[in-house]
Amino acid sequence: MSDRLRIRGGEVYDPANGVHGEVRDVLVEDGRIVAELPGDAPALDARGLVVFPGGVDLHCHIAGSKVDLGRRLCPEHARAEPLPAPDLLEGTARSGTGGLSPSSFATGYLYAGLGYTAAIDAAIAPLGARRAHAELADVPVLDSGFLALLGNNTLLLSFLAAGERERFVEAAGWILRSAGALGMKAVNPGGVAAWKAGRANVTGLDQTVGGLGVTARQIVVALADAAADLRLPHPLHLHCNNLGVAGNAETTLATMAALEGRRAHFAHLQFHVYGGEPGGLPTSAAARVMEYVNANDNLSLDVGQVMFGPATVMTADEPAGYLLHRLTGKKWVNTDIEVETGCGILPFEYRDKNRVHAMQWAAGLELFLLASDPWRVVLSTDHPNGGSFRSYPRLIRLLTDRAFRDEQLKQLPEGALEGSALADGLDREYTLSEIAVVTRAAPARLAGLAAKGHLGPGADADVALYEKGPDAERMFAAPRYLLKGGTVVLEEGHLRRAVDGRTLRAQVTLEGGADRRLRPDFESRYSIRMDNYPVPGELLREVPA
Amino acid sequence: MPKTPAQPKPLVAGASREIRSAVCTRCGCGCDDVDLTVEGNRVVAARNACALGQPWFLAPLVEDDPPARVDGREVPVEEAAAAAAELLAGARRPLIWGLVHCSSEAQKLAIEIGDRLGGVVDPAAGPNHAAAVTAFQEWGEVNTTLGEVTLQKSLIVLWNVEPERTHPRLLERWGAVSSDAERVIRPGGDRAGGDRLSPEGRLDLLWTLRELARSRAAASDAAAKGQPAAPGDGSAGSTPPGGQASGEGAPAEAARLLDRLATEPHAVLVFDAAATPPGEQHALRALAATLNAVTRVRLFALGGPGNRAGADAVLTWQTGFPAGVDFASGAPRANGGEFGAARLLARRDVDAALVVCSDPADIPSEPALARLRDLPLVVLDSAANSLLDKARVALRSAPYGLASGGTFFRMDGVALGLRPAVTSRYPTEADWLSGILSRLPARSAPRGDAASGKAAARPKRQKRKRTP
Repeated sequence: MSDRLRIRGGEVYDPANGVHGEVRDVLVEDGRIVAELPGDAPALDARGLVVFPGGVDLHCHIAGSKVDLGRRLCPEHARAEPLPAPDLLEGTARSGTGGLSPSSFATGYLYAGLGYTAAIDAAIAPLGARRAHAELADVPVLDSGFLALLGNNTLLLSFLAAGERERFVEAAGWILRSAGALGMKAVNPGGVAAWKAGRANVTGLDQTVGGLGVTARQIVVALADAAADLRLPHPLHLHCNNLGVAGNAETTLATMAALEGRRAHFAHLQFHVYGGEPGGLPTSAAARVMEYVNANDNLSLDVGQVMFGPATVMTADEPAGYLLHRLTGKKWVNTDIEVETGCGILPFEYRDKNRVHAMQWAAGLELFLLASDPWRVVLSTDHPNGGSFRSYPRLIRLLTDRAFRDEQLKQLPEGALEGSALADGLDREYTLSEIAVVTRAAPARLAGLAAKGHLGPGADADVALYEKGPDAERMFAAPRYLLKGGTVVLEEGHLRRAVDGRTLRAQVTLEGGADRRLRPDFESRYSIRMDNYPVPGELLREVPA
Repeated sequence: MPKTPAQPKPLVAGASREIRSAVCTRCGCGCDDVDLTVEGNRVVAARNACALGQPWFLAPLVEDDPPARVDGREVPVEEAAAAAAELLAGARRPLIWGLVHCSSEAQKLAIEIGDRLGGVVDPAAGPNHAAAVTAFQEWGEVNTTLGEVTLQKSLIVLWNVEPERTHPRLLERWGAVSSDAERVIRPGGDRAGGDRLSPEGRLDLLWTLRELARSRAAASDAAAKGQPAAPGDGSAGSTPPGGQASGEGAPAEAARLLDRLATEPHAVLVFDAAATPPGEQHALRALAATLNAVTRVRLFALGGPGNRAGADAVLTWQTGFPAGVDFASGAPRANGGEFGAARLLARRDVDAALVVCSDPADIPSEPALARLRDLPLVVLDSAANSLLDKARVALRSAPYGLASGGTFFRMDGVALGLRPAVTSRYPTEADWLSGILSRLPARSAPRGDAASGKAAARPKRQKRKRTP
């Protein structure tokens, strides 16, 4: 490996820098993209190849206790896919297992095998932060981080209920800093706390959360403000109330309106855009929700596309997990995590002959195809909830190839497209530039990762090279080369060097004395000492200064 | 604590140190509010530590053994690490067993050794751990971290366990006292009176209770939909399916217990993670899931001792499986207890072993233990271990949590950082294991998997780590 590399003559897609398929060189030095290199720098012949920044997954579930619980619940997935260690020239080669929640090393290798170099786990209980960092350290190649679950933290909510806004923000900041998190996440705001406290849920924005004296509206607004006050790189990442329930588009639209222009990122929006009556059969109201998003540029989303086949429901939304358990009768994990959150896990399968599943599949595609600004849209399957991240290439083909999409549409059961904009087909085909936006540039920009998602000077030299072809699924499933931080990780389609990833986290600055002010409230609730809550710096995989 | 003249004096008069919020690694509770006073190189006070924690923290380090012996002969640490690597690499199928009393950083390395060598990794986990794993796979589990029980002031149902003895501070940490019958109940038997129910009786009670809970949940669903509840709906005092109207035995007791559980908004069923018989492992999980249609009932599995939860977590994230993982085919495979140490040893399916920080008494069968003693052994431990004398390579380490740091998992899966208080002349477990790992040959071609045979074709660059 050389410290310098000229990636010569590829068709470059770097929409963040206004480059849309031009043939040009991409220059790498000391792990970064640079503007100039000496003429005698080693070269990689990229003629005939398409050059993308490394992929960035803004919303997936790849670490933490919930993923381990999922692995334990469904060992049949792992058993069905043993993965021998790759034949590496450098780095630690480890064997593993695949399936819906691949083992840690396999997760890194498999993401690299799609041209991805960064991933954000979207739901880590801060109490489990040390464990999550320890696990992410075993995920090679990817730079990784996580969003900390704050939307049901009863310590934070007690400050909110008491009208103590400053203490709320400071405590949120302290928790994020202690956890080494990239950003904050709210899941079914108030609903998880209500479930833990008494089998209840929160189904409306203005419903008071049992015993806590706050509403979902107050939680959402306060967290969105706190994210801004704390200057987090990523705005509040929000999983709305009423996930998966018929008629939940009303809740989603009301939540968007409640933000009154504040920035927020709506997670797996597909699961929140249903029409119909509660308790009845859901229909797609994706067009109506997307119209609102298009008109309000404070809002961004990842889609949470459903892909037909097996999935694992893996959510902090415990009431939703319970509902699905009762609906399907499947085995079920429910873990309450003190003060902060909980999780629900069960196996699931999306079937193309099931009318509701087919509607969900179509609703996700509608969101993609009706979005006027792809810079606020992120490609995700909410892995492994809507399907595995390994189905991204197929999803890309659905977006770029109308004929392929229309073939799939024909397989759907009658009535599935009722009310859907896809009923008459949608002409739009994503361009390669737009794919580069929704899989690279947008997630990086929305997450505040300035060195990711683009190929301008100063960017991390994370570069994926694909062979252009008529079948986008084949193309994106097998990059020819992948560079991570300037190291050639993938060569001629084979994983060769498994570099270590780095921790992606926010720098949170707090006024002195935050620990002292928080300690009494902390220690009256948690079962661990406050001293033992922060994740020590040596566990974070930072670039040495 | 009585003072003894044997205590070493501080090097400088009055130079005692305080270490706040140290973590106790003894029982699995992971009490992290232990405040230590250290004088010289010895802990002289361990505030908040229990009857298990006190002697652990206060005992002087016994470091009479040399750090390393090979065939009984004292050798330098580098030589010992090389001998261990040679022994393990020369085995056809080495067993890496134990992983209890060490940090998760050490556990990671032990698993990597198993992966590299195509061996078997099996954490010591108690006689019915495999049943716990399969019961979890079958039913899932409704559970909780430790603190939620305190916050919800849950009714504590002790299912054939005695935490007062095994996890002395657990009830205190839940804000309960043993004698408070309003808060703590023991349907399987009294603390003083021992087991009141036979194993068959316990199983019968659990399944009867679950049937009652199912019909009550169905009635509650029907009521929610405005339908009349079916007769025999499991409401208090009604006839359980297949049971007698009332009277002695499981049905009546189950009905009483269900009434108690259903009137409590929160309850926790506390059982032993590894000792609970297989049938009860299944029944408890099925019951807890069903009861959540009516009230919030969680399971709490008493784990430990030591860092068993860490071994379970790390092995699961690295391989997909929590126990008994065989790497012989080049990738992890596991199937209940099939690749568990006891079975492999009894079948003479392993030909060498690396024993990491675990008591051989955890091998649940005598023939298996006898076989283990006969194998070429590398034994690594900070504590007394009867296998050290049998070992070809005997390695002594600094006790984790006392003289070395790292990560410890509480039995509920919450990870904590250890705060070492004293220094040891022995290397840490992680030092030993990385020393062995760095001396192993590159990954060999997996046995019986010709398709991946090229894996060994290219020598890999080995990173030399610190000594040993």
